Parts: sequence; structure tokens; C-alpha cells
Amino acid sequence: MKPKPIQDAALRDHAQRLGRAAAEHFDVERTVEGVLERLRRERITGRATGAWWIRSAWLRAAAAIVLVLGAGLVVRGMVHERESPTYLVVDDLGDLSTGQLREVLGTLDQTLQTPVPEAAPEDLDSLTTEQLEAVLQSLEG
Amino acid sequence: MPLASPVAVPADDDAQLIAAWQGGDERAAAELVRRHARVLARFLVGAGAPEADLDDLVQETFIRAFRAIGSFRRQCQFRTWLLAIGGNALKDLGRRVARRRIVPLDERLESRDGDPHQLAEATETEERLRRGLERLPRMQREVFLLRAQQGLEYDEIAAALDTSPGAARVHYHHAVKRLKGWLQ
Repeated sequence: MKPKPIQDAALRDHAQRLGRAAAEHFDVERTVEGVLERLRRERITGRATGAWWIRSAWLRAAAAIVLVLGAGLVVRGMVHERESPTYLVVDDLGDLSTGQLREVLGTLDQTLQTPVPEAAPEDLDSLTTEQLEAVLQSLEG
Repeated sequence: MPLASPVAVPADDDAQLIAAWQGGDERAAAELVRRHARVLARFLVGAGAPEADLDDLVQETFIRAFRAIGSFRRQCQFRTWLLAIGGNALKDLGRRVARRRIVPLDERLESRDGDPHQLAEATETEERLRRGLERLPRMQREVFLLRAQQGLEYDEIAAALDTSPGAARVHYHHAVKRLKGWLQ
């Protein structure tokens, strides 16, 4: 005898009956107790979960801000180091009046005209041995 | 093609209970378990869970859900999300233990009322359906159960199983075709 083809509706009926008896006999209150006990034992709380995510997000944001600020300071420092002193002097001179510029030039002239003391090796020749030792000691500190 | 109506569970109430639990109210967690434990148990049995391990599996599913509740984005109902987690827990159990104990037919008939001949025929079909479901690929099995047993729409199934509604529809039709072939 050829078997009857099963219809979609019949298949769904059977599917809906699957596990029904087991579910009816299922002890829900025992499961509730078991779940609550594990939640306590494993310290799983909705509040802790949420707070942890919030804390974690804030920490990540704070770390990102610190990194950006730190990197900015480092880059700024490097840029300042590379700036040529010539540009700084020129900037400063640009702010001076004519009279002030003359004073600066006069100071430079005086500096250039100041005689540089020349070494006098003959002075050392006139020193005694004791005096030379005293000079050497003073140089050594 | 009319389907069985899903058991009406106001999603808003679940959302309130989840919020209450996140606020530290343990009773809200207990209420969520009470609401969904039986449906979850039925789904797990249909998916091939050994009845001896059913209580442990249901508990494990709820623990996983409560632990991961921060990642629940309400893309589907809490119950559907829970069933998908149950499917994962069952898969992990299947790796650890042997397949379920086969309950003798007479033992199951004892718990039912009605004409013994009809019951025997229906139970035999259910048993063959259960065996057929075990032979299906996991995605086809879960889509079939969520659709045929739980009465869910393809959009809802797709959101829970992280697939598209079109793919869910194809999985369902493949499952039906293969199950019909095995049950004839």
C-alpha cells in the first residue's frame, strides 16, 4: 500500500506537539531557584553588567583623550624645536622702532670693538715652579 | 498558509522586567524565567535535547542570556533571542555528551489520554519527525521549529538567527521538503 503524503498542516501539528508533554511536566520553580542560585554564585547582576560597560566606555574615552592631548603636546614641542632662531630674531626686530634699532646696533658695535685679551706666554715664564704648581692646582679645582 | 499564533507575550513587559533586573531587582529575573522556561523547554526537546538534561539546558540558557543581556539590542523579541541562545547551548551540549536516550513508545503513551491506536500513530509520527529533525542541518532545524512550532514570522526568525528573511524562508522550505520525504 502506498503511504499517504503528509500535508503541511499535519506537519505543523506534529511539530507543535513536539516536546509538549515534556514542557508540561517541566518544573519551572525548580529552574527559577537554580537560575537565581547561579546568578548569585557567579555574581551576575544586570546592574554590574551595565555599570561595567559604562565604566569601560568611559575609561576608553578618557584614554583616547589623554592620547590625543599627549600626542598634540609632543608634536607641538617638536615643531617649536625646529623653528629657526633667525625667524624669532627677525620677528622681534620687526617690532622695534627706529630709535630702538639704533640702540641695538650701537650695543653690537661696542661688543665687536671690545679688545679680546691676548694670551701672554711670557707671563708664565716669569712664574716660579711653586707659582706654576699653584696655578695648575687651581685650574684642576 | 495560516500558522499557529505565537503565544502572546507582551514585549513591553519583557523590556520592563529586563530594565528592573538591570536595576538590581532579582525578582524580575525570576519572573523572566517563569514566563519563558516552558516554551524554551519545548523548543529544546523539539531540537533534540535529551529530556534528562532539559533542566540543566534551560538553566544554562537563562544564565547565558542574563550574562549577555547588555548585548540584547531588541532586534527581536526576548523570547526569540532566548530560543536562539538555547540552540547554541544545545549544540555545545551535543559536543560533550552522547545523543539523547530513546524513550520507549509505551512509556510515552502512558502519559496521554484518548484512543490508544490514534495516539500510537501520532506518537510514532512525532518520533519520526524528531528523528528527521535530528538529521537536518542545524539552521534548517531551528528555522523549522521557530516557524512551525513557535509560529514566528520570517523577519523575527532572521533577526534571532542572524540571517535574512529570504534565507530563513529557503531554509524552512528545504526542511519541510526533506521532512515530508522522510515521513511518508
